[in-house]
Amino acid sequence: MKQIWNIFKEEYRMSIRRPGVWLAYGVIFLLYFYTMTLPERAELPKVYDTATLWAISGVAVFELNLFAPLLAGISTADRMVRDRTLKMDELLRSTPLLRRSYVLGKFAAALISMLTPLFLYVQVISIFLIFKGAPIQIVWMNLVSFCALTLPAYAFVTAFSVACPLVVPLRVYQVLFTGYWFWGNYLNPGFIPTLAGTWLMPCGKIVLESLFRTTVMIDGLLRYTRFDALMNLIVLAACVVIILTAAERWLAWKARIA
Amino acid sequence: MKRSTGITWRYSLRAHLAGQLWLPAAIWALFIFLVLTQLDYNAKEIAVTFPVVVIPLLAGITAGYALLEDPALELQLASPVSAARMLLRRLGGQLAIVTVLVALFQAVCTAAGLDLSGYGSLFMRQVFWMVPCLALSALGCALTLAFSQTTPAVLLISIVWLLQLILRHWIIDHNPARYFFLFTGLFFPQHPAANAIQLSLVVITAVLFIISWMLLQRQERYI
Amino acid sequence: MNTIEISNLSKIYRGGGARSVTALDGLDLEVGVGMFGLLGPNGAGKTTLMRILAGIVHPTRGSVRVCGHLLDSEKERLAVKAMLGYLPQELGIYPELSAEQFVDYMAVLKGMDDPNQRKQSVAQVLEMVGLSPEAGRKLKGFSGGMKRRVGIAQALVNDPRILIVDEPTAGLDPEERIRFRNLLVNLASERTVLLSTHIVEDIGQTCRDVAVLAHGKLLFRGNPAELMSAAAGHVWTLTTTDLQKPDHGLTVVSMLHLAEGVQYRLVGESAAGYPAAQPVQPGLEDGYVWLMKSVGHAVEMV
Repeated sequence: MKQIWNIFKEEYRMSIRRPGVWLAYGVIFLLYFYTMTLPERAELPKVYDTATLWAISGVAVFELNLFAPLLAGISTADRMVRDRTLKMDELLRSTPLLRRSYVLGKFAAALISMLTPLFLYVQVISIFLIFKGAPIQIVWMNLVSFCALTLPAYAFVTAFSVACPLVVPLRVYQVLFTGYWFWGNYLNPGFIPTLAGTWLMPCGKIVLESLFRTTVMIDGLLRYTRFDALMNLIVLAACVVIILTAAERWLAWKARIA
Repeated sequence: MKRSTGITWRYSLRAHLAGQLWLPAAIWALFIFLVLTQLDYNAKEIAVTFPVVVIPLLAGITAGYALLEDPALELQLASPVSAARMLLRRLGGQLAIVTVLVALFQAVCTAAGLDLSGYGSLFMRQVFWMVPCLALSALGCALTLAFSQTTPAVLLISIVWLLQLILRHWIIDHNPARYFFLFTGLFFPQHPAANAIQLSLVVITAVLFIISWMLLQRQERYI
Repeated sequence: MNTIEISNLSKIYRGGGARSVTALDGLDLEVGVGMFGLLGPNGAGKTTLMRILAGIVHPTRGSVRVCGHLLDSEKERLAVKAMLGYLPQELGIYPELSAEQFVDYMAVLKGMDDPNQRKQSVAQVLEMVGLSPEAGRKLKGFSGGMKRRVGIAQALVNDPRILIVDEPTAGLDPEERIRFRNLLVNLASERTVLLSTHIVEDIGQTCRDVAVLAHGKLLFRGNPAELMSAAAGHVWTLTTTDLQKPDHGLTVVSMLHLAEGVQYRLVGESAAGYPAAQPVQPGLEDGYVWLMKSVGHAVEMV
């Protein structure tokens, strides 16, 4: 645990200090905030029952999953491979650092560093909604929404982004990931076969519709059940475990043949 | 063209571009597969999606890498190659590769009997993919040089690409946003402002390349 | 006529926030044909100076003239680059190319358009650095020393009027280092060779003209003998069984464990605190250390 914590600490510090990433997040947040202030959205309901509050909270947080995971995927893609490019891997291998600690520490640091700006933004949203008349419990509701919608999506994206560039060149992964994010979440399955709408969809739409009982789709239809939400979360978690395990095994194999 | 130019291209290909060939080739193969298996459904849309939507993303992201991800960058900067030539050489190779792939792709689509005249004349269909490709390449270049690293550039290119795809209706309906729209060739080829949009993108591309050229002259930022 | 004329050259790197680093501070220097050595501690500004001369870095103030070209425009910098051979401190290579291809590529970039002349030149420089048998091998299979030699070869391929070499012998074994030193001296008979190194021995064996930089300023300009003689009377050896290292403001340049105790080589103002200390003739390293001490630059020898 100590090793994981040490890796996490140092990696988080390095990861959070990238001005380019903050700038990119800033652009996205400004866009999000602007859309929240549009006349058709600025008016909140007069009556706040629990269901309405959850729906408002869910949509506000879900919107972060439209574009921001793209930033996370691209920004975290170099976190593990940079040890190779910076020629740090030999030094790291000469220490008593366990491989699984290394992988978990890197993953955790990459994930939390990507969630940090989002977490801050969610607080801004909470304050904005309170100013617009929402009750104070919107704050903890937004936190729950953050955990239910944002965390699984980012964990999934970060796990793949940290692991895949070990095998695939970095720029290739970044291109493929960008294309995947659109294909896997927003492309109409009638156009070409896609993961959108399946339990492998990471953007959080299944959880939003089934647990928060609201949707961002124009037709207003709720397509998913609680079981779908449960399976979605389980499948995403399983993918995280599988890909991180595969990364650790890959590193083990590379060390054996070195 | 001097004979040495050909040799430089050959070495550039081996040193820089070889690793960049297989990704566009693999995506090309995937889209060929999709087109040929969807002939009775939406093959036409797919046929236009590859050059108009996919190729510009590829070009935009790899443009930055083409410039700065060079193990012998300091040696390159110390050689008597002007900034303009360096830009041309690095990006030219990439653009040549995508041009060949798009040409082959279009040839296969034509051979498969796809009638794409609904997406404009043959000339306009080339304009519709080349202009966005150059625009995103120029943007990728300028951002990479401005930040002196590739990751922020890749981030912003991806955001631009995704935002434009998802908000395409809003963009095309609003002035002046429509004059920055990249995917006219797929979604709105018959739009009255289609030609004006391409012209606007050409101007923006030229400005971005000039900015890139100016930034590349400040060589010390990249070593 | 001087090949390189530097006047009031300054370079300030502006870092994040209020921090800025002055790498060069009002440097005046003239360099003619022959071997010129550049010594100095880390952060002295040697690499910055090399990069300015190579046209990669722009000065903040001052002027640099190389072979009559004032490095104040891209056109002039390109003209200088065409007659320059540059070996950077951190040499990057293309692992997929062979040694021959890599040097050929650099030759093309330097404007050598005639294929026959280029082929001859590539073969010649690879022979010079002892890599002819490996010419067709990919660089990814090369050892560190071999890569360094490829770097030297590419610097020489265009028969440059000015050769700038930054830590050229890093990674070379003693035999290779001697060979390379001799090569540089031969080349320096007809051109300007600017050698920047931490290995004082390399300077001593090859350069008649030496400059010492520290904190971006020129501390010394002269020949190695002058640098050495400046330390005359300030260098001693002391053999002692005392476990504590000598102090009293003296710098320990070397330590040797002998049967009779530990022999220290000391540089400083006075060894009065150590009656057993024997004065010795200063070497170049002693001269360098004494120079640094006399200008108040602490030379840490652990």
